[in-house]
Amino acid sequence: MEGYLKWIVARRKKGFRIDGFVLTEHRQFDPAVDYSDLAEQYGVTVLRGAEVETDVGHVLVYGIDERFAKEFDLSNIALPYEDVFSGAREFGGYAVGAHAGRPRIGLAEHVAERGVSLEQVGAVEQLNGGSNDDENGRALKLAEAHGLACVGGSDAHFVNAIGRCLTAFQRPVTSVEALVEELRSGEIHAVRVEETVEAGSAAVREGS
Amino acid sequence: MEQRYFEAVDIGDEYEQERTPTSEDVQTFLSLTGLGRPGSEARSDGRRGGPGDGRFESAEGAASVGLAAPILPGNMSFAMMSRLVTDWAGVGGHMLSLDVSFRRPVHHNDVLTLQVLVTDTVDDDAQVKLDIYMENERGERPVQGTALVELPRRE
Repeated sequence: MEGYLKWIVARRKKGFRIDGFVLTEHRQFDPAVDYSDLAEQYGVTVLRGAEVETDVGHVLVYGIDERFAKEFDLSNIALPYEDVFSGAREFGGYAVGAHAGRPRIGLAEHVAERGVSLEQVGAVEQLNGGSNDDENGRALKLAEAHGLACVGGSDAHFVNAIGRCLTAFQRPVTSVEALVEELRSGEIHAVRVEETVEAGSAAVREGS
Repeated sequence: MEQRYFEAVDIGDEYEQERTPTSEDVQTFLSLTGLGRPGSEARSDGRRGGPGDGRFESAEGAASVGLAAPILPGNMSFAMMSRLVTDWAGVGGHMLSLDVSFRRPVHHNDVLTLQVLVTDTVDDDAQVKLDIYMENERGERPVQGTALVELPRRE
C-alpha cells in the first residue's frame, strides 16, 4: 500500500492529477482493514471496494459493507450478476462492470453472444489499464449502445500501473459515500492519466 | 554502460529500451537453449526442454495450440527483462531479485518498449525497488514484474 502512495506522490510531482484510488481486491472484502493513517500521511484518498466474479465477468462493487459480504459468497467465481448489481444498490453501494471489453471476463462479450440483459447495469469500466485499445473500444461501444456511464480504472497489479486510467467526477470524492453518490449520478467519465494534467478531479481504482 | 549510483535515484525515475524480437532472434534463442525442437521435452541429455509443438517457430505450430501467431518463449522474455534491469543498474549494481508475471503472449516482431520505473528506495541498504514491464504497440503489457537492485554509493 505504501508503495502505491509513494508512486502517486511521485506522479503528482510530474504534473499528473491523481486524487485517490479505490482498492478493489479480487474476491475478498475485509471491512476491518483501515488505511486511513497512511492515506492521510501521503495526502491521498484511499477507499475500499471489491472485485467479484459473476456469470458475466468481473464486477467492481463500491460502498459495500459486511452485509454484502454476508449475502454473497465472494469466493464464488460465478455469482449471479443481476443479484450482484441489485444487491450492491440494496446495501447502499454501487456495482460497475469491470474491464467490460475484455473477452470472457467483461460484459460486452456476454451481451453480444448471449444477449444478457443490462437492466440492472448502470455503468461499466470503459477504460481499463490492463485492457488493450481494442478491448477498451469494445467497452465504449457497449456503453454508448446502452446508455451506460463510464468509469476508468487502472487495474493495477503493480505499483507503476496505478492511476493509468481514472474516473473524473464533478464533485470532490473523499469518502465511499460520496463515491457512491457520484457513481449513481452518472456524471462521471473515464480518463487516461495523460489527460489529467491541469484537468478536473480524478480518482482511480486499483485491483490486486 | 553508464554506472548508476544510489544517490542519483529517485522514486518515479524511468528508463526504457526498445526491442523488436524477430523470428530470427527467436530461432537463435531456441538454438542456444534447445527449446522448441521436436521432442525437446524429453531430450537425450535428460534435461527438460520446450514443448516441441512449434508454437515458438511457425504459424502452423502456434495455431496447433490455439495461438494467433508464433510467440516468444517465456524465458526469452524473462531474459530480456533481466537484461533491462542489469543495463539500468550498470556493472556495479547487483540484481537481488527479479519476479515477472506473464499475462499475455509476446509475438514475433512485436514492437516492445521495455520499461523500468523506480517505485521505492531503501537508504540503509542502498537498495532500489523497481517495477518493470514490456508494452507492445497495441498498448498491452504482456510481461510485468518487479526487481530489487542494490546500487553502489558515490564515494
